[in-house]
Amino acid sequence: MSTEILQLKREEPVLRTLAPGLRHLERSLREWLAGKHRYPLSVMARATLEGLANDLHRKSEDLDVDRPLLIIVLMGGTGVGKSTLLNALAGEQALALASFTRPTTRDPVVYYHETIRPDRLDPALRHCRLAPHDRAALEHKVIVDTPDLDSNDLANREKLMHVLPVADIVLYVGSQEKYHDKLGWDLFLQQRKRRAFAFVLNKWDRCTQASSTGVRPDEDLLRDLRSEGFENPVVFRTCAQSWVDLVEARASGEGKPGARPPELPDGEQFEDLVQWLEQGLSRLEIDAIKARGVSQLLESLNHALDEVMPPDLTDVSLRTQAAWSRILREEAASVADVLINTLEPYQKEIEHHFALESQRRFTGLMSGYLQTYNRLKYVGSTLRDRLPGLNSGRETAVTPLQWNLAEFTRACSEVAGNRALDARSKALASRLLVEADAQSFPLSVLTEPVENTGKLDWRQRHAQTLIEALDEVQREWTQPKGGRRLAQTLLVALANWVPPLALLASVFYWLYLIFFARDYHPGWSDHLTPLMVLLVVLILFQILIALIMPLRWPAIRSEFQRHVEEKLRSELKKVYNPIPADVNEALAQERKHLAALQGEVREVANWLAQREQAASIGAMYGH
Amino acid sequence: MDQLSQRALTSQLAEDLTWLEEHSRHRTRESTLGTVEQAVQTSELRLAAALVRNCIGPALDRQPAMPLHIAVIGGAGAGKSTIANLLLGTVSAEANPQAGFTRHPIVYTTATGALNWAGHLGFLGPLQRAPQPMPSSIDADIYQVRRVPPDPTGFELLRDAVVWDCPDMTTWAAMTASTHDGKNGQGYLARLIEVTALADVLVYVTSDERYNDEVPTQFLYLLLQTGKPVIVCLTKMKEAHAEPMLDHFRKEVLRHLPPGVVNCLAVPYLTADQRQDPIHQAARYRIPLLNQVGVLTHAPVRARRRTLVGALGYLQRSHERLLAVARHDVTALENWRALVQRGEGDYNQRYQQEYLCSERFRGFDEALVRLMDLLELPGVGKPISGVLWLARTPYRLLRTAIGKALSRPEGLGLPELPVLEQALTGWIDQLRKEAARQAATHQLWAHVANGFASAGLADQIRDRFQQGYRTYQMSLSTETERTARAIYEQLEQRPAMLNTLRGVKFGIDALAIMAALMAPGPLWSDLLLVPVATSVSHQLVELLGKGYVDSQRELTRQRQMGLLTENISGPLADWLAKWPATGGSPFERLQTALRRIPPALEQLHTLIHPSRETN
Repeated sequence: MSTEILQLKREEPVLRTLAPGLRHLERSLREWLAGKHRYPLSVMARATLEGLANDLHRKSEDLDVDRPLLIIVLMGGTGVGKSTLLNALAGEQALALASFTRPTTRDPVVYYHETIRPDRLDPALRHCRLAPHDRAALEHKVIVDTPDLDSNDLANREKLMHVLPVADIVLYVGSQEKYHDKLGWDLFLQQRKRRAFAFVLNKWDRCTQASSTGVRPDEDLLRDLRSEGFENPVVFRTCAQSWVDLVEARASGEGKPGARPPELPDGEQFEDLVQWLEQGLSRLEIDAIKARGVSQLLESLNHALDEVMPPDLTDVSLRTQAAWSRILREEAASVADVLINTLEPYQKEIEHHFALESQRRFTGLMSGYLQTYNRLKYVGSTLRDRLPGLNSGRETAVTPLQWNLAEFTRACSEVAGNRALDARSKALASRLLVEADAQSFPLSVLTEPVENTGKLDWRQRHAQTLIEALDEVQREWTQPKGGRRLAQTLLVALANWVPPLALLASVFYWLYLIFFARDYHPGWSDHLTPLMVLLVVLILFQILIALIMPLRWPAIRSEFQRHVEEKLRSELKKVYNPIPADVNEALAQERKHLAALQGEVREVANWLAQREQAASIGAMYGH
Repeated sequence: MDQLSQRALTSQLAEDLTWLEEHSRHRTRESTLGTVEQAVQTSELRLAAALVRNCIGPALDRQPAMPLHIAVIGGAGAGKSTIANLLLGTVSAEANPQAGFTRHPIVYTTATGALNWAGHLGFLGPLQRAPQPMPSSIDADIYQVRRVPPDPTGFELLRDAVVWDCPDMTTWAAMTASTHDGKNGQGYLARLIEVTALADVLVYVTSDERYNDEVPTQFLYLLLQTGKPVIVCLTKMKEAHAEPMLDHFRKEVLRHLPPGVVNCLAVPYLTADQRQDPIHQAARYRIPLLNQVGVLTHAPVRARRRTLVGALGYLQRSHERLLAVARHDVTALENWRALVQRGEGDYNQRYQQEYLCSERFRGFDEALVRLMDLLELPGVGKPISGVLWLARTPYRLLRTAIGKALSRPEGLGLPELPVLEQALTGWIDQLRKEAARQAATHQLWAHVANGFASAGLADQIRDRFQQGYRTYQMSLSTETERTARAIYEQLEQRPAMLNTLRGVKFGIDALAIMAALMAPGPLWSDLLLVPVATSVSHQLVELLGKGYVDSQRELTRQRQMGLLTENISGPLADWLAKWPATGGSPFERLQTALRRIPPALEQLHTLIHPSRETN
């Protein structure tokens, strides 16, 4: 134990300059906590980080003074003599109630120098029992006696846990019976990475009984502490009660008490404890402990941030995308199949639609002829929806009375959705997620976007796909390229001009016969000849049109299916493929944010490390 | 029930409880939340198993009541060994200041004391008797027997009883593996529980520091529920504080505990001399203690019976709480079942919508034709039928033309097997996804996910589907064909009805023709009306027949759905729901334990209280 007092001239209180840095860290941490998180933050992790934010706040407040206060908290089971120890330290000033009833202390007692204004104390301490003193040697040290940690009164434990975060040094008080108790030991293990620990083995007189078996409690304790990484812990063996008795005897004037209690067992170290508290913990040590406390806090913060750091999924998301494209291709094919099957009952309507579209390019007689012909040909399909009782099928689409492509495709997509596609898009989401899981993509972040995509309004999209595919097929048929285009243009031109010319020619011929031919005695049917000629020409052209521009459903179908499939594939890819990358991107953002936070933490820690002073405090921290 | 099956009953029950305890401990290690409650639960399960092993088992086995077991228990450093020495009248137990020195139970008996009690199978569970004397600080699953000289003062406590000096329950080594020489991962608390379960009388030692501590009090609370009588020794206080401290203990601690504490005694801090000579120097503390114990042990058979009844009572009262260990597992299993059932619903629905709705059952169209043929007149009536058929020719042609123009081509449905297979893939994927997603939340999901990943669960499901599909197809083909054929076969088998229907149809035709002929107007138009009339009547009959056939078709559809659930989806869902709890998985064991424990307790009840049976 170093007792020398180093005379150091320091210009600026180093620790004080830490305060703004810590405050800034706290703010950043809280902002991050309040923000949205794509990567799930477990309840435990959140609680840990919030606790750390509170600690940062507390530390920054604590350090933002010229000389920070060192808070020493006594911790131990009921009856081990925490209050007696404090009373012995306080001398004549009887502070804490010590008695044989368990548990004794119900409220923490704060023993502090009278020059400290109570409002400088941490809020957790302000509402405890305050006991000011005037001992100069303890001027910047606050000693807190706490309730027990092991009695049936659980409220006491809560009070202790409320005070504990304030502690710079925990003075772990054990007795012969309790130095080994699980509850206290667990608390020590939980706190050891966060604060300095010193140990008091009170009731030392009971530990020194000679016995042939067993290890002496202090050795036992030292052994356990060594196994926890405390090579050379600060341990004091005390008989606090004897010192309290001495003070009482002195006060009542009984006999002539000496400076030390009589019959102290060998190795009693209460005086050492007082010495350590008064001189051993010099300003140098206090600053070092404070600095160490901050660096421990920063270390745990860094560790906690590591724990919540989302994984890097760049490779995984690429693999997932690759694996998905096969599934999406298959899916597009089978959805196209279902959609085309749904269109099957309406092939006449579609043919009709195509016929109407193509006849627009013809004019005059040809157009009139084709119109009449189509109207007659498709009279059944236009009539059937107007006749009641014919639509007995269960899943026919309710087609509109007036032909309307948008309405029609929507109705078809509705039917397909009801029949199969809704269930399929749900199944697709599962399928993709299973595949992503196989590529070790964490489903916790992927499930939601994928399932939401599965719940999109696919019917609308399918209807749109159908319309577009129909349009494209139609365009392909009506505006082909290359030789067929030439043939078609030629055919249209011929079909537009030849019938009227034929009609004219035959009419002229007929007139010529009537007026100029001799011996021409036409029957009534002969007058119809021009019309017959026209009809024949028109029929010939119709046959030509049917050959060169076929519009029958079986011819369109496969073309149509190909288009629908292609469209669906690109649609599915457009919607699903970016999801893994998006998620990865969002996580990368979070990683970046967290890394920035960690960078700040490291910065403060480095700054602190550069200024860390050599002081004899290492023994109070395990490795 | 004979001796052998009784033994099987108790050993099985103890085994089940031990398994649950292991399970609970395993979970405690996995989770970080609520460890205190889980530790208590684990201790309770251990106590229950130990009661069955050490108390109920030997009693049912007709082991003699004597010797009774007196166990000295308490927190570390409270003075258990000192109190044991007071009971024994010699300095036999090692009393030393190291907390948690004693690591295994030690039983004290006289030089001639019989150890017949140790012969019962499974007695003291994992604890083995130490082969030779050794220090009590050996941390192993053993107990040792120490012989002490007879008591010179004439108290013959050890004539009827043995005294157990137990380890503590407060130091961390009691509940966690020792860091120095730890091989045993559970700490030595289990050993303490094993012995306390055996005890007929408990001496609970607690010191002036400990008497209001949580951990020993909880332990006392647990033991009081087993109905064992407890003598409390408060130790180490100053002589003057003895009475107020006893009062305080009664008021602060005992008042909140169930009854069962027989008496509280104070044993103040003993000087070294007193400790060294318990018979003479500490007689004033020893004699009241021996008196208390003597009262409780002087009728061994009754005392043993009290222990037995108490143990059974504890098991019965707490068994629901004990089984609650498995609550999380049972919930997880229920969630899994719900998921499987949802999947089954989706599966059936997909089959219905993607296949069954658009299935036309061609056989029925054929059946309609056959039905109409049947209704034509046979034999002598044949020419008339032929004439009418000829008369209907224009109608037939017209109908075909109209039908062709108006009919819509059918939508192509998907074939059945691909629909079923795709729906099955959907079902499997859903289960897989859910298992992968929730794998971190509970072991069961992890188990299922692992089943998919490495145990080939998906393939097993597909195999089962194939099996189900074969039987389904077999029953299906007969079913559909039979229904379609039944439509006309039923009529064929009932000539009376068939002929009536034929008669009716012919009657309608005849009526129509008559009406047409009777109608006023020129003859040729009347003749034209004849085919019209017969066509109308024919159409009418056909509509009726079609209605009937369609209703049969609908019925068949429903029956086919029923066949599917019966042969494919139903058995598959059952198998899947049970899957996590089969094949030797922990969940199977868990379910077995949960199923077996309540009836076993009831059986024990009838064995221990046979009088209730005769009432």
